[in-house]
Amino acid sequence: MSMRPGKLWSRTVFLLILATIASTVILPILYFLTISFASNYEAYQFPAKIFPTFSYSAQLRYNAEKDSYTLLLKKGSTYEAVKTTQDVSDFSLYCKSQLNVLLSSAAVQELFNKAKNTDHALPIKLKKDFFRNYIVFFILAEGSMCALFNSLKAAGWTILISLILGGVSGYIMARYKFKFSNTFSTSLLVVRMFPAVALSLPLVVYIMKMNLYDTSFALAIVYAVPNIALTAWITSSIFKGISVELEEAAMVFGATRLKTLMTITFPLAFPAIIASSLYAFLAAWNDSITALIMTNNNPTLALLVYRTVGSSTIPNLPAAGAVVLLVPSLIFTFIIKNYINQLWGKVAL
Amino acid sequence: MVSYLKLNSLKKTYPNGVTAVKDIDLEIEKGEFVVILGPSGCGKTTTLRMLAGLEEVTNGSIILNGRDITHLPPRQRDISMIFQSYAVWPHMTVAENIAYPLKLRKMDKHTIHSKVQEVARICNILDYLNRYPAQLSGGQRQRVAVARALAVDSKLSLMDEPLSNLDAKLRTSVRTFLKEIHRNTGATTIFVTHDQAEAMALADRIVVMNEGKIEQVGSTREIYNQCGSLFTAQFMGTPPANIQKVSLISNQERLIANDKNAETQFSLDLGNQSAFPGIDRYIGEEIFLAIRPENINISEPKGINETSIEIVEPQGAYTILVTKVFGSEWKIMLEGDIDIRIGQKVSLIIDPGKIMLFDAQSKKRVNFS
Repeated sequence: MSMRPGKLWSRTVFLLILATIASTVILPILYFLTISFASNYEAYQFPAKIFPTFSYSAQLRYNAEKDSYTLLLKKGSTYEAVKTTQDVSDFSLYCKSQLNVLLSSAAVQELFNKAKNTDHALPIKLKKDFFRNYIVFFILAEGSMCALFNSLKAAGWTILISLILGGVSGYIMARYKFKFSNTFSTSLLVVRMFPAVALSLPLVVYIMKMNLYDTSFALAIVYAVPNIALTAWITSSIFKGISVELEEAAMVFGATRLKTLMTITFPLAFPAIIASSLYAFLAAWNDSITALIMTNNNPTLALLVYRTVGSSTIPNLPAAGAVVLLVPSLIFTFIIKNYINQLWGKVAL
Repeated sequence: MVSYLKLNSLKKTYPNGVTAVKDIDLEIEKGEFVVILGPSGCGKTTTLRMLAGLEEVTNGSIILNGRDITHLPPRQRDISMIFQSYAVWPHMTVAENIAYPLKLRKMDKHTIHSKVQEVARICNILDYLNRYPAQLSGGQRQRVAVARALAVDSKLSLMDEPLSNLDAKLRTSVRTFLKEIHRNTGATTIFVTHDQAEAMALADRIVVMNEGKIEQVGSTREIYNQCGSLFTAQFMGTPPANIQKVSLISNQERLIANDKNAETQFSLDLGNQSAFPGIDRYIGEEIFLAIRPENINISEPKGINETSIEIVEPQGAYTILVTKVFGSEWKIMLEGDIDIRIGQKVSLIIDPGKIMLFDAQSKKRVNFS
């Protein structure tokens, strides 16, 4: 069977793209998720597992000469001794902290008795507490609910500020041609070039003078600055996409300019504007640098994750924190996607 | 008697200095269906948009039903409009689209509902009232636009190339539909198009525009057969009239057209000079000669106006023959399926009454009466 060179070429390109997506997107995300569910013991294992595990295949051996018990975990085809102890609570603590397995003292005692009464090693199955890392994260990160709320508030304000100011600029950029209109739109982008730190350091002085330090609103102001420009550019292309004839039709059929804006232009732009608010949301949600400078007692969730687990040497807890941070942005994205999809007979503009 | 709609030396100059419309004077009677016809860029759409109030008027005035509406905002003009892109609002259902202008006119719910039902029935879109425009085909969207315009009972109905986004087959059916609507409602309508077939089919009167000026106003028959200017002769008709710059000579009471510049020694016998009273002052002068393809007939070679057929284009109902006259291609349209060979010698027979002559300088029609 022979293949035309063109076809071979396109197939190669397709496979390359597939491989790139797999190696740069899917595998890291999968690894990330797996690590976030891994116990300390698992996190140190090499090679790392691709999929999360729910239980351990283990053996419990009684050493008669020392009157101690040894826990062995299955590693490949052999069993590896991981813990030898005489004490029930010591064993229980090890399971909890290193293996993410919750065993009460009574349950451990029962296992010990069984192991004592068998000549050979007792095969046991240790069930993992799957969400242990997440629970630990929320225990470690004190005030995480409060931080979550702060993050949401900051994101909300950022969306509001950037949509109002950016939306108006976008409409002007799309509908009106005036002297220096190109300069205006380009200069908006210049604002985006400032690093967040460079903006927030001088701003923090003014924010303190205005008694807004350590509030979500102050954070939102800093987040909104680069976002206004982005929103303006996005919304201007949205408004350009709305045919002027639709507005003219409204005016011919009896609407004032304001009425046209409120009943035709704005509702038509609304879904796309909501979609563009995603950028504002993500900018606010993902930032920790600005929050580090601008807040003190009311950190955002991203900052809290950074503070709590940023110095951790084992990757499983930070991974759990990161997933916690990821979930709300995913939910937000899907809500918006579904909202836009079901609008106006499921057909995009 | 004051006419219903009057445009007084209407002029539009854009801020960049381009003058799109120069001095338009037009009077339209109540209930007329007027088509503004012209090539793209001739100012026809600008004229319509000035009528709608979507374009600022530079100079002149618009009087509708005795009221000066020149500088009124669109909503106060009591007009309706059908746009080229239909301009039905995609975020409203069909019913909401039709009801929107009525709501703005502060009608009560019951009246709006019955009005929507009424126009939806006329436009045959009763089944789609709850659908969104995105779920409709182009033709159905066009009907929604028509229904919306119908519902408002306006003083003036404007249509900006409403058929140009439809495919060819649909275009003719919507055309018939629009004509039917007009016959039933008798609404004063101004229809803008660049398609002469549309214009001729629909219009009570056609306004031919070119380069911001009105070339000619008249009925379809007048515009087609009595072209007032060279432009109209060139623009109207498919295929358009055969046009040649010739110099006229008189030879034994017969009028002969020669082309000075052409290398071919062709001369066209236009017939007895008595058929062109007052032609004397053009003898020896240059003049534009125009003859429509269907006004030329052929016969066996007779020694005059002899030429040979170069291309035959059968069209079923008629046949288009292409021949060289004065070195340029002339088209002849004959009824039926003509059996003719390429290269066959024929004589052209021209009805002197159908010949149109245009002044070489002014390019206006030379009248003999």
